[in-house]
Amino acid sequence: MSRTRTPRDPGLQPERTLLSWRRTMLTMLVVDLLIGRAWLTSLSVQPASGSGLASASGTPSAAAPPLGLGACAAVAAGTTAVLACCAIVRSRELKAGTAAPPARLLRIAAIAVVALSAAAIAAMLLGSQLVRAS
Amino acid sequence: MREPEWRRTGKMPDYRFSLANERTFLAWIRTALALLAGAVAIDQLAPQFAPGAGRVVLCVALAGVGASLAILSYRRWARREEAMRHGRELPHSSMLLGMTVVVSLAALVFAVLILLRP
Repeated sequence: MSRTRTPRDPGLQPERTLLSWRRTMLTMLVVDLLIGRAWLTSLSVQPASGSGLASASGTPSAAAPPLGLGACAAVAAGTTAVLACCAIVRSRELKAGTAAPPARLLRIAAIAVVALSAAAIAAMLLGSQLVRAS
Repeated sequence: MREPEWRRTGKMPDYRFSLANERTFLAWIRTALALLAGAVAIDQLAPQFAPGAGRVVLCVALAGVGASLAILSYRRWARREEAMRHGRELPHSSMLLGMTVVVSLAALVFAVLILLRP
């Protein structure tokens, strides 16, 4: 009847958990898009607003503001990769059976989100300082 | 990173309960990511939303709540699985009350900011 070794769960528990991981990845992609957009916007706005001053005085200040957001975008890419790995590993497990998740998988996922939050906070504080300084 | 010690104690809970616990963890992670998205969106894409310093404080607070939610979601998952393994009552968590207060406060602050916007 069933192709898999474990009988099909009538409550579709593994399927629901799999979809929950996919939803989490989709939310992560939304965060990526927002951070990426903010970074690209800062890249295109900054040289235009600071070009007159920066090119005249020769200071590299115009290149500084996107740095925090650039780092944040890099961390976001890393977090996405980590979460994607977790989701893929877990999907394989869930397709094979109904094993409970390894604790370290969830811990890595949580740490990745904490790292992204820290990067976002740093970028916001850095951005606000530069705005005040200019 | 090894499996924690408590994972070897007690007996494995019914898979339906461990998978439900995992989904709850993921739902909290999504909540943390959503708060983060909100913080980035307000900070970067809505510069007229609030005066400079206030906006940064608001966004850093939102992102900070997101970070603590990610940590708490793992701890909550671990405490619940530990309780299930020993057949104990699930531990009480103040996360629900805390998030209710945070979201209500955020909504209130947003409403005031939108109303006061010139």
